[in-house]
Amino acid sequence: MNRPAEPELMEREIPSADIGTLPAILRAEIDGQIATAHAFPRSVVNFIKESKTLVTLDVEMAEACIYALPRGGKTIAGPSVRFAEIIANSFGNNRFGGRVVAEEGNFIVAQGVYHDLEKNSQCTFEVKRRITDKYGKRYNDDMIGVTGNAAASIAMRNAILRGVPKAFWQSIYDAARQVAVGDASTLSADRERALGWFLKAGITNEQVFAKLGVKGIEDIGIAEMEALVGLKNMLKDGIPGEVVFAVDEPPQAQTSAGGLADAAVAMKNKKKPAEPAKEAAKEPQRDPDTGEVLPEELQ
Amino acid sequence: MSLDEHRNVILHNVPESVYYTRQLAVASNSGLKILDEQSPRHYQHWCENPDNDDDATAGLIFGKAFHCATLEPDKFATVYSVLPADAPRDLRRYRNAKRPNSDTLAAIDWWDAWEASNVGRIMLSAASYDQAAYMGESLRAYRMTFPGNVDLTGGELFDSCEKEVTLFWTDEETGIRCKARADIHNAEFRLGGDLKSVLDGSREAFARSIVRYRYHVQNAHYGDGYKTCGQPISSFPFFCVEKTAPFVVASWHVDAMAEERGYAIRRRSLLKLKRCLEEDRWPGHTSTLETLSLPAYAFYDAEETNA
Repeated sequence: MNRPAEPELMEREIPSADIGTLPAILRAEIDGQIATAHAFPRSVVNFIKESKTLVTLDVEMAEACIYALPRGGKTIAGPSVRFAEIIANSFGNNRFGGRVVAEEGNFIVAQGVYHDLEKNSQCTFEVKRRITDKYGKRYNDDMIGVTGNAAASIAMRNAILRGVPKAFWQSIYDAARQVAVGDASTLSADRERALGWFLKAGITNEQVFAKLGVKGIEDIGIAEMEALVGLKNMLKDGIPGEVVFAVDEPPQAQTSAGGLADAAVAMKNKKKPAEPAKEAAKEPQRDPDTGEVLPEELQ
Repeated sequence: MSLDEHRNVILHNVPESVYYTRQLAVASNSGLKILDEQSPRHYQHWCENPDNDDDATAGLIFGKAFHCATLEPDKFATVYSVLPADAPRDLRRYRNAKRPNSDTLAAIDWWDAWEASNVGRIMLSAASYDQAAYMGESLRAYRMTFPGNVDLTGGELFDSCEKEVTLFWTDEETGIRCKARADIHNAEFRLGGDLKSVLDGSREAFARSIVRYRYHVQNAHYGDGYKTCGQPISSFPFFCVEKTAPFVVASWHVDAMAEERGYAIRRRSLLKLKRCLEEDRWPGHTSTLETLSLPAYAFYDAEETNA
């Protein structure tokens, strides 16, 4: 009777993974970082000074701190992932990151984490992104990967910008915006320059106006300039112009309960019988000579 | 009237026999439901064997009676008739018997006379006749109040609308011919609408019915039809009446999220139909060996089994 072949010795020698080891290493690392954070506490004054210097280093750096996104038919701007990275780095004594944690049907879920080692406070933020197109067709694997990375970045940014109190970073963002967007005194030259940049990138003025929801260059104010910086960053990130400047389609939803209410009112108004014309008050006839009102039988 | 015409058009008085002709390449809301929820093979069978399904059942006859009682109450009594409770047994099969007794002859005479006076009418049981009539009355008497204390009864609304309006159009993205038949339509006030007989018209129950019977997809299908035919509607309410006394009525409209979901599901269904038509393949549930998982409830007692 043939005995079954012995498994190779090498296979037996592979040690089984000790699932308790990794958490222990991780915990030791975090404990070490917490101890270091307590030994070298941050200075908020230095943080503001350092980060403000960084974000206003040059126009390019300042512009990178702003992103744009379509919301409710308009393009709005806000602090970007790059800005959040600068804030987290300058604030110091922290751990942060983002990762995809789940794929739920037509959505991908990413989680951003920010852990303040000095204060021992942690903030997590989840972001859901659709992985189907407007026809309900699922993205291909590459697009799902890209969408997952984008969602993780956004989740991380949101976690950092909630973990670091807004009171600390708002003035820094304002400084970056001031450098990137300018102010009222430079607005005229800035918007000419911005439109020139987009023209070189193959985007017509009409496309820019349509995206911003303005009629012409005169309607571009500080808020629109901020959105333009965000749109510029999207183009710089390699997102195609036709995607960045696609004018949002009106939502397909087109019916509502209000439609019936309006119809009911219109129906009732239509049905309402015309008010009988009030009989004009009869002017009593008067005697042409004396002006006296004639007796009823002569009326 | 032919379904092959490639016009986007809203028509009145399209005969049922024309509208309900089933064709693989013409998408109706009911057909898309079968294609998407069951399989393309089921859809193909449904199209090619119109006489094999349950459409000609008492349920469908009752549905039509209920619609008639609600939308055209004046016609209801002339179209439908109810067998009197004291009707004798139908003994007409003994008409040629050698020596029929007087009771049999009386019964045959009664049935001949009854049939002569009810030529062309559709017969309902007394219970169904009453049920359809009560449901129709209840829907017509239903009073809705809108902002500004504007009152509108179901009857006033239905009387202002055209009934059983038929839409034919071509879907822009897929090029598929589509059709729909709305219970009510008022072009002037941009209204469409549908009557539903339900067991429970409450908010939660009807929300479940919307998902189960894809009424939000119906809303999208009809909405797209009206829009493509150049008469976009502003509202597509569902008027539900419960099938049992006191025949409570409710009017519901899907919200924007449900409507958007309906459009997405309809789009998915149309793309599936387009693929089947292009490849002339009508697969069943699977086309290869696929792995399946169990529903979550199958694992609820997993721990207990081991204990």
